[in-house]
Amino acid sequence: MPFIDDVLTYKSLSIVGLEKNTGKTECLNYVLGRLKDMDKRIALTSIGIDGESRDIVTNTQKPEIRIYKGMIFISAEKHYLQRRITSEILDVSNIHTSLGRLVIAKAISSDKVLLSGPPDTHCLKAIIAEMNSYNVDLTIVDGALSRLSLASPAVTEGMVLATGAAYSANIPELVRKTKYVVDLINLPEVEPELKRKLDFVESGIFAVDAESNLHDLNVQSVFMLEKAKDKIFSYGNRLFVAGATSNNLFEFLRMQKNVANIELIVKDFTKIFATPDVYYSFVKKGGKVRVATKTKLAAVCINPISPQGYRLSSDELKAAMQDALQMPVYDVKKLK
Amino acid sequence: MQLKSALTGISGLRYMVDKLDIKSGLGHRVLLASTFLVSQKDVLYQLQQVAQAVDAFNRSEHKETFDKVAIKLSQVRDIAGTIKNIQKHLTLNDIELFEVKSFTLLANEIRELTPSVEFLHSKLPNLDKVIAILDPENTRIPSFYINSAFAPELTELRKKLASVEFSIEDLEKTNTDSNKQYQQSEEIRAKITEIEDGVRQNLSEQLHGFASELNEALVAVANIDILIAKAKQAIYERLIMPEIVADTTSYSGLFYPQLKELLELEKRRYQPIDVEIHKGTCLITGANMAGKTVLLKTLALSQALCQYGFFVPAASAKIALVEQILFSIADEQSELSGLSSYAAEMLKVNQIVQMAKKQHPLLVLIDELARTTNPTEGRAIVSAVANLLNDCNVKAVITTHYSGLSTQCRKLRVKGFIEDSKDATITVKNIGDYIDYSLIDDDGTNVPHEALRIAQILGVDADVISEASRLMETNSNKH
Repeated sequence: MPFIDDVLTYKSLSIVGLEKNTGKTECLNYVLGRLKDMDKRIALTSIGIDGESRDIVTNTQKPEIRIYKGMIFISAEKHYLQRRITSEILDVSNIHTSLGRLVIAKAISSDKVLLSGPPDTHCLKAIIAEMNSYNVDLTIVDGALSRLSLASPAVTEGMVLATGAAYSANIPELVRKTKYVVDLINLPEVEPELKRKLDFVESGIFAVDAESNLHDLNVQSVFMLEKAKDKIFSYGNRLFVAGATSNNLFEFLRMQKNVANIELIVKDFTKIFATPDVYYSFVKKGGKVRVATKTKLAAVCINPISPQGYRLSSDELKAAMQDALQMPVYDVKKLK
Repeated sequence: MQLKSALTGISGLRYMVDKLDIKSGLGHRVLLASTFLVSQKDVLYQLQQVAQAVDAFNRSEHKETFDKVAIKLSQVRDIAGTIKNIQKHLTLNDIELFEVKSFTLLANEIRELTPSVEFLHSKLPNLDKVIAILDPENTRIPSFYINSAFAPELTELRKKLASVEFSIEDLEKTNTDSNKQYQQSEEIRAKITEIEDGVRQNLSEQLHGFASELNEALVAVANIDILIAKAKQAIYERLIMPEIVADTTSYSGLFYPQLKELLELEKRRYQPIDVEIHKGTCLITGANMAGKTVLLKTLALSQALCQYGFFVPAASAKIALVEQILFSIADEQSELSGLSSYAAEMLKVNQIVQMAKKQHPLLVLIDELARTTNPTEGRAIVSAVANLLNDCNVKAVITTHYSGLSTQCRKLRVKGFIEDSKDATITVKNIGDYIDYSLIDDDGTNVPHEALRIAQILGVDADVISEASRLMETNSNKH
């Protein structure tokens, strides 16, 4: 049973795909199928809408998420009322989404469900915390890595990454692109004292001094950073950006004289939207990046088949990926 | 007028409402929808309720009860929409049925918690019959689904469905045709859905008979939440129950809670005020920074709190009820309407005069009437408005800097600088400590001339001060 024991060491786990059809749902169904026979209380939610029986974008068959008797699931009112599964409502939360409030329910039968979940990171954290009151051992988040989602899956303790031919049909390129995301996931976390401060900051750009104090630079977005050039390094070489970071920021920092001493701090790895070349050229010149919230990568799954019909060699892809990532990689189609 | 709309008009009211420790969204909604009470009976009823709550809350033997009730209240959800659907004979879905079940369980728990606090207890109807409908097995657990207790045949059907679905999976694994089983499972599903829908209809129908009890319970829970919050605030902010009187409103130790708290935080003195407001007009003069505007705001706030059923910020209070509170205060925005500050003020004052002429009992508060025009005409306007309002059925308080007004109405003055403060080093920061804010009767012939002194304290350029003083002297010599 690959990586299931590892998964059980976490209180919360997100399963994210690098692209649609990279096998995230198969991966999730595998994990749930394994966990159902264990004496563990499992809760499941999603960020963004998921679980449609057909993928609207590519119109490919998409495996539904199967929930087993006794598991807790969280879905918005609209989807809850459309369910086929027999389930018992435990609570209706105060969290509102475009599809209604979130319903917390327990599965009475085993069946497929439509999942939709918290609209942002704050609510996601709240829901995961609330699962404690239902004695849940592990909360699984069906995640997405997307600019479109306001909820970051990086708040879960562990993460399973699904990648595959849908992301790139060329093995070396797919490995390179996946390696980049894995590098970001593995970025080190800041010291606990600073982390506690950063957790409460939702927006803005700050200089961080040696005593871990934040100094607001009063810059609305990284695009305006040029205007605050004189202030950025007046407290040291550390900069905290609460929102998204783009190529512009990394390029700007790379061009500074003190680049080798610069440390950029972001909320979590999903806030980095720089392209790999720009990111690596900053790092190569000595620039450092750290995160306020780090998630542990529990496993990487590959799906060698793309919706366009490309079929990569499973063994070849797996070997190349393992070699690059230096960690075990699993083919979702072979997970049983 | 609903409290919600009064929040923007009466300054200090939002502060008081925001500081209420209301536990449920339901309580908030009902509070904001509460109306400005004008009948003595209604106001007294509300105030007595708060008084009972204060009394109960102050007793140590009830502490545990109130703590437990607070937890229950924080779990309450507003099910007004669902109750509306019940009244309209609509079939409820599972989420709505869950809401009704969890609400009735909570309301009953609150009822069971409060037998010792009789006035809270008696508000809540007994909902046992509603609970019996939604919790036939009497588990008292708020979770909900249509289980076999509602329709025994569901047990068998659900078991059958599971086994058919299981066999479909098995057949699919071996790529065998599963069409027959698939059809069978859809048939069972349809049957289950039909039974479940029947149960939902039946439950909704039964609940329809209890719609008014549910509504009553909803309002009662909201009011319990509001009353406890008002009582806690009354104790914490030292508010008192006003006496409701017919003619003269009078306060001793009247204060403005927001300002008092701010000053106390800075460890500075706050001076409460004693004041009487008779029918007719009362003109108030006093130096700049003497607290005239705050006085008007406090009068408006206290009147509003009383008539929305809150205790008031004073050591003692007798309040005559009014139909409306009307005011014209300097910091109102007029730029956006495209009017000059003078025009905006005159239109506002006109509205007040029109209302007053209809002989409605009003509380009228006008801050520095006609301050933005020339003193000659300004003086005339103040006198005219003061005289007119003096003959109406209103209590009007008008502050002004003008002296020599031709009016017979009552005049008060803020004492102003404390006499022995002449030698003290007064700064912008401590100026409040050297002002006596109390009100004294005044003949109105001489308004205090302390504008220059205050300007000096504020650090205005010495050349301006000395030149102004010189001009003042030449002027008085001329006369």
